[in-house]
Amino acid sequence: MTVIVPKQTDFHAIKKMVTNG
Amino acid sequence: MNFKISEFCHFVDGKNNLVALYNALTLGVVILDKDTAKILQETKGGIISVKIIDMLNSNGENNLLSQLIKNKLIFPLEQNVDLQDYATIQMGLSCKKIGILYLLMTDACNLSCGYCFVENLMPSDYTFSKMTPEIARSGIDLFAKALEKSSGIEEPQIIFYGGEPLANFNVVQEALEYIARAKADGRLPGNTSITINTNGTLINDNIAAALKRIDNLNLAISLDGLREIHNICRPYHNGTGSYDDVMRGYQCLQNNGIEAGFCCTINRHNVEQLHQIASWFMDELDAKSLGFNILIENYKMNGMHGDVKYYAELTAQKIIDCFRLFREKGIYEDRIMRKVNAFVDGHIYYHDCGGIVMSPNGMVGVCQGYLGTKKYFVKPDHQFDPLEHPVWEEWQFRSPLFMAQFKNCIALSICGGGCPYSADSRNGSIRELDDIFCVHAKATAEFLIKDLIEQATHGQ
Repeated sequence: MTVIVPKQTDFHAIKKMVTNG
Repeated sequence: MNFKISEFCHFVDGKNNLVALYNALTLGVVILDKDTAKILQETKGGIISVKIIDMLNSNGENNLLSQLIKNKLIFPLEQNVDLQDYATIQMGLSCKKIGILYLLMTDACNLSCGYCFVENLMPSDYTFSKMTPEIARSGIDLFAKALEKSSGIEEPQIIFYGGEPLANFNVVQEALEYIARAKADGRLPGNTSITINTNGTLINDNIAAALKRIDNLNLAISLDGLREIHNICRPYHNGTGSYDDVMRGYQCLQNNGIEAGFCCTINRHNVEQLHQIASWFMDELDAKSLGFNILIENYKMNGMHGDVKYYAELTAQKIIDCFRLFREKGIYEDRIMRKVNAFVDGHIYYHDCGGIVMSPNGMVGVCQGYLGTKKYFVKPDHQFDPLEHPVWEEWQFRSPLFMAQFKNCIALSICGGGCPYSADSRNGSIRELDDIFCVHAKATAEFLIKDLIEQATHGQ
């Protein structure tokens, strides 16, 4: 069974270099 | 104890035989292998049997059962967690607030863009006008009072809009000075941002020099692509293209050290090449920010959509493709970032629009799309308070989170509901679906969930 709970860093990685200023 | 799968839970297939379980209301995510996800997906009526619970409950303390509960993907049958969460999130809309002021400096424009939802909807006998300094000041005062009574507005925004706002630049200048004084004496918050949305054709060195003195000013220039495409989309009234004048205006800003962003309206003339246009914005114009506009219906559009279903699907995909490009260089594209920020930060995105629209003649409304008909516009008296007015109340609750027909949507909490005006003109009411925007919202939600699977398994 594979269980992955995304960490906050995984969510942030979606934005890559976009920084909201 | 019996458990139930949340009615807000969506199953999204990703790479490497992984499936994300996603709560579209509270934004929790757990990623499982396909076989385990299938067992949960096939439970009858969402009720999870004791046998399955035993399977989920293995693996010690940090087991799957506790993660699914924590992320609100399942809950004990006797606790209606879904209902509680739905009510709590709806409560977030119950506090009245207004954070955006649109000042329509004039309702006239020197361009004749086929897709414009302001200019093309004017009745044939409409009298165009320019805003006076007195009306600009009354709009700013009205906004300052509304802000005082609003809570949770992190960054108030004042947007100069039109028509073409720079066609009334003297009053723009007076309004900018009045805003600076209102900030200095504390009537407006110091971080109130100012944006001028312009077609760029009227920018000259005098205007650029005047704008350079303004703090916290954003300029957004409408540009739909390279010369040939832009000139088809955004001609003058006599049919000649505006591209060369826009680029001359942009050059003036650059010469004066003013950064500008761009607005690009996606239509059938540029949608196929949007990725190349995005690269051009990035590499040739050195754009740091950009906003894609999705076409808003108007009866004079002359097929700027092309086939509507094809337009909606292709637009949704192209916005995602451009985001993949932009995020590598740190370029902020506003249309998709509204949803990305909500998904990444885990906050609810209630509305795509809303605020006060001050028309050139002093009437106050909620949407410039209705400028021609004056629907949803009122003539304010000295007691007028938009926070207590039924028009603003109606629009405040125009959110997918208050529209039962969208309860099962995968984009529920990151959507914002699109354009009420478009929903009204295409489907008969602001409380109906903005069907073109909806395709973009759903495609973006699915992309973000699949991308999260990739990010979470990065390097594994």
